[in-house]
Amino acid sequence: MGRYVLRRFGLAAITLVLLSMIVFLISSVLPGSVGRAILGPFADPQSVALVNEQLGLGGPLWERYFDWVGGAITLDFGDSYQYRGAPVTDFLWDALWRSAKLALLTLLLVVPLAVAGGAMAALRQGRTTDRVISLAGLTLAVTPEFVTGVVLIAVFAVGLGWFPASVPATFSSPFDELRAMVLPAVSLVAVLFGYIARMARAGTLEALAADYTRTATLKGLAWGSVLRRHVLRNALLPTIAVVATQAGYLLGGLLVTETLFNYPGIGRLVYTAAKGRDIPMMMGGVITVGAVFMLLTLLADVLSAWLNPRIRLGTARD
Amino acid sequence: MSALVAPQAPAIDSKKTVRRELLHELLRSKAFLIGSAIVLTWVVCAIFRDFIVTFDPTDDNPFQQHRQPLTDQFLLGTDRLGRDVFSRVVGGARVILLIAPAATIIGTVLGVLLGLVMGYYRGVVDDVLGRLIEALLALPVILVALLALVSIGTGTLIVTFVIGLLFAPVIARTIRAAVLVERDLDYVRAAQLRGERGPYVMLVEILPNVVGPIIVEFTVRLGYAIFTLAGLSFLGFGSQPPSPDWGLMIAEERAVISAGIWWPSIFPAIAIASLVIGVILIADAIQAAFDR
Repeated sequence: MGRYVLRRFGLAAITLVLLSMIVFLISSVLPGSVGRAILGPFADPQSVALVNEQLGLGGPLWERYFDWVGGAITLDFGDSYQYRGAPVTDFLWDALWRSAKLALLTLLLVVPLAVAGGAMAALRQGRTTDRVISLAGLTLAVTPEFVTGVVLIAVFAVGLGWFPASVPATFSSPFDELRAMVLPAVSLVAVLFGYIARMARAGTLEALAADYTRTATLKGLAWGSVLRRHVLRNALLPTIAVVATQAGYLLGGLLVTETLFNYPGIGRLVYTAAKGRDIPMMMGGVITVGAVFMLLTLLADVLSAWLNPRIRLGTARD
Repeated sequence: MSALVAPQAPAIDSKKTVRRELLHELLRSKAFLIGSAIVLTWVVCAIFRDFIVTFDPTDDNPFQQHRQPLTDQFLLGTDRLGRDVFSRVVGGARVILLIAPAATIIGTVLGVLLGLVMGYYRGVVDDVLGRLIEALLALPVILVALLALVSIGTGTLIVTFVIGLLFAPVIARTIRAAVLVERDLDYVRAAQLRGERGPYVMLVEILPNVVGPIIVEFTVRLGYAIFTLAGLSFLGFGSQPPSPDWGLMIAEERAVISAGIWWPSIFPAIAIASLVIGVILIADAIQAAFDR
């Protein structure tokens, strides 16, 4: 178990370094254009060069990379271009916290729903219920978040007036905040339901066909307890892994949803930074999302290993 | 010579039978038929756009009334510039059905080449590329695409290439897994013992045998290309105005939903959803047929 966890940690560290290189390289394809973007198309070349110099965009690529990574390790992602002088980190934590709240609400809604749906589909394998759940999950999963979001706004915010169409800047009570988060969360639930339900269905099917289930049934255990004690418990194992990967995806996939609902999370932070060509802010946001994703995947791996002796004892490597 | 050719004949024959059975399987699948019908409708809209539209999709005619509700003249109403929503939705099919397949083809070609090299040579190349791919996949595609578009600049051609490039690693991973199974089979050994070079073995021997996973991967990615491109357009980093791009139309008109003007954004939303669902239904049916 110790060695397995250590190995996973090592791999995650390497991946994170590579990720930082990818993010840095992509954002530095055209370094000269930053000064131009700030000063506008009519500024003279000398001023553009001066601004680039001041922003530390003059040195060779590797030097700038180490500058950035050195800062990023101590959680200093440089200063925002948009809000001149303000460090990126100031904006980052607030946004991350807001996104985490939205992600948590989404998961609280989607996990029980999808697990129940997936298990139900597996128990009625091949019949209409299975078809409907699987097909609904698939179609919802591939419908873009803003498409579901726009329909939700038209029906529940404008038509019925149950929830606000966009998230206000301040809330009068925590209940109001929760109410504002419902529609963005539901549009994310729609995307995630399919993936998680599919895993839960596959896990349940595997557990239903397993020897231990047959043994439990044959020794005369009531069907209800067979389901609860043997089938569902084993079916949840692969589901944990997919929930963690989807939670990481959520943090980035929030990009579109948060923009649609004006929700001030990390997705909208990256979006506003992209609109304003605020590259330090963008890089900080993107690398944070990547790091959080990797942390969650790592957590899921360790959790699955801890729950599954086949991985824990090293019989099934990789 | 004939002794060498003879044992091949039944192999080709059985391959043909497999293909015919696959087709039969697909034509019996309801998901495949429904998906094809939806996608075909949009393809017809894209090709025969000029015969279907009732107005020019990009023409903002000042004589038309702005934000008109649905009438006989304007089947799906008009938007804030008085443009006919029906014509724009039909015209939008051409926009997405040009760039999404193009991006997917770029991604598939690159991904297949990468997957072949990784799976066939293994070793250091595989390890290094594998790590890089895993790092890249730690981020949602739309986020990396946004980062790239901000630093390179936007434009239909650039967006197509960026999405193609970003899809390549995912496809490479799937193809690599398929190649790993093939590379230890007798026919590959035989080619190697014959003294064939790596590129020949990969492209002539292995490639025809991994066509199944490539087709499945292509259709699935096509669905996600539409998903991602629509998202980028919605964020303002895809097609630029006055293009009748569905994602862009929603972005431009979503603010007035709260005023009860729902038609300029809801119809493109339905269009996107139906196209992606159609493609994914086809992909799912093909995958099921290959798995059988």
